[in-house]
Amino acid sequence: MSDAELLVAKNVSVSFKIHGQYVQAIEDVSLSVRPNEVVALVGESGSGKSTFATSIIGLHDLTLTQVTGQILVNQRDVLNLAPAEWTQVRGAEIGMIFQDPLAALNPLMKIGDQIKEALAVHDVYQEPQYNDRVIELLNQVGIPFPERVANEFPHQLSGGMRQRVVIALAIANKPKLIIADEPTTALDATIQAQILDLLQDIQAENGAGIILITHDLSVVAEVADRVAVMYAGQIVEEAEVGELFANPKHPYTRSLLRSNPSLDNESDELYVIQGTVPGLTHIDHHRDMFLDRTPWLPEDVRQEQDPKLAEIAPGHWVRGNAWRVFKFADED
Amino acid sequence: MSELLRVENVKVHYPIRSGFFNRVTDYVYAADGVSFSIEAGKTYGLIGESGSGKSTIGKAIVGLEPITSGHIYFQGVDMTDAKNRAHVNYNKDVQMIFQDSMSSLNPRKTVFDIIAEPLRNFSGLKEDGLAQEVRHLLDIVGLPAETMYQFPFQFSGGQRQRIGIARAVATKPKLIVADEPVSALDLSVQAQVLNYMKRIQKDYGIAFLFISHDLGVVRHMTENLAIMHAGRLVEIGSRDDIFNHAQHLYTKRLLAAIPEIDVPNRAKNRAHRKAIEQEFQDQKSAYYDADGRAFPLVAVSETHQVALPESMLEGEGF
Repeated sequence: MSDAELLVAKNVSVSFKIHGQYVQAIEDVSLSVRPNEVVALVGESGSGKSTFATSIIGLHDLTLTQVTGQILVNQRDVLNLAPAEWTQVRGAEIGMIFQDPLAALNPLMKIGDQIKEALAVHDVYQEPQYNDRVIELLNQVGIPFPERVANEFPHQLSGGMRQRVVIALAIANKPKLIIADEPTTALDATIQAQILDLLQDIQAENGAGIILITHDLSVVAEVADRVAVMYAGQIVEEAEVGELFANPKHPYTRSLLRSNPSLDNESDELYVIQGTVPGLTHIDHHRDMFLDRTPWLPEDVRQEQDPKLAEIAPGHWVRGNAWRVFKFADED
Repeated sequence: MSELLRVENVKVHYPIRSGFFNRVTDYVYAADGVSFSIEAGKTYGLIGESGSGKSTIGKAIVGLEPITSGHIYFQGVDMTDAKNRAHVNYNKDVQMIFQDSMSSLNPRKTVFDIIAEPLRNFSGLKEDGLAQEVRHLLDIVGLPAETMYQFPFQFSGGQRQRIGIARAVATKPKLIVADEPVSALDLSVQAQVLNYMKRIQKDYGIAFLFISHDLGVVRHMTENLAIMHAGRLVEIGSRDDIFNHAQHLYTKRLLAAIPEIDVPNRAKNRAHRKAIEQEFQDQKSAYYDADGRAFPLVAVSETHQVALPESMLEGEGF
């Protein structure tokens, strides 16, 4: 591992206490992010991508959640930080962009005051600089008339503008690591394009590393440098973005790509992945759960015990061995 | 060509009230003079961003939204006149599939009651026949018959959406209006629901009006598309017209904004997108009239209509 890595997560597992018992939500997830890199975390709802992000920024309720493994942010172990220490890390070293900008902003506080509040927590900027920094930030995220917007409330802005404010908050103290959790899911196509461009511009300016959490493969193809595909709490495949889309290997990645309507627009039927995502209590972490949804594969392939991520080509990691023999049911 | 439904200059304006006497001070022009027609058995996509008025049009067609002015003709009969509605069985022939399956299914009713309700209203079937028909409908959308006596909360999002489809198909309608039916679903579930909708559309020859902001889904589902912006239609055409020969700047901008799975060319696509966005900001005024409304639609070919002033039309062999 090189020294420059902004985030090193090793063997992170998260369990939630449900009815008095711990249920494992993600298992053994390892991921690293370097400066100037966008790492996309892709998966369907319930795959554990947000759970993982939440553990990086320490927002789990530890009375109900167990987080194990190792999480290093700028070489600092953050897993066992006290709440007061977390305040210094959040915002200054890690910025978070949430999916729903209306829920992430305080409805009773003016935009400018919210940004000042974020600046006041850390000592990157001093009191006399706050006003200038607010205008500078609003300019940077492409908000027209920043002086006026700083004096407005969140409800006076459109969805796209609100998301820009949330981004401004996340980068206020110039964190090196930014976690963007479905930053464009709630937005229209044209606004989504603007926000994605903005994220890339900010990254270029600050040299930040971004973890982009999304379920949208086309967003991944547009902005990511590296992609980790998650299913049922495990990373099943990880590769450079070009490699992943040109050479997808894991059955889940291949199935997802095949069921995407924007790719096959002429054929009559879309590819359907059989079955459903398993519930938390039904996950057996010693198997590749996706193989339950490919019943046409031989039993011994599907029951492989403790499949491991293995590097099958430089930088391209795939879990287990099923991909070697995987064919779609209609292939021969 | 048999015209099933014609929307003619439909306007839906919501009053804005303010001041001490709560008087009407202005209007929101949710739909501002929309006209198009739907032929029997064909599929249409209505695309627009949030706030463009696409859902308002869908609701107006089904009758859930009173229209301010304009007419909706169903098989030649004016549906905006309430007397005519019952007369031609409009409520049976036009059905709707909603975006949020949880709020569009009564949580206290079983699946049987949900699907049987339109049948009781319109088919005259009695208990035995009803049960049989509901079983048949569940089979069409791939749900086992045992699920008949379960409640909506016992299903996943994709399954609930399929129940909504079964309910819409129950009366054997001629037109189904589907308002963002898959935008709340995950990719793998979305594919399944779209397949059921497409199969049913083909098997029963139902006309579909598919309302969505997702161009990929619409391209897959429908042959004809209409692009809506700020309450007005800016372009209507076949799949080929819109995706390969778009003329209105707004359509081009919308198309350029869709992220594509094309990693090798993404820098080029991004530059193209930024160029179009710049062009849109610079030349917006040329594509809209003095009040910021799109121009009336002009036909440029048999299938293709664009909201452009005469001077800007590109010749297309017409």
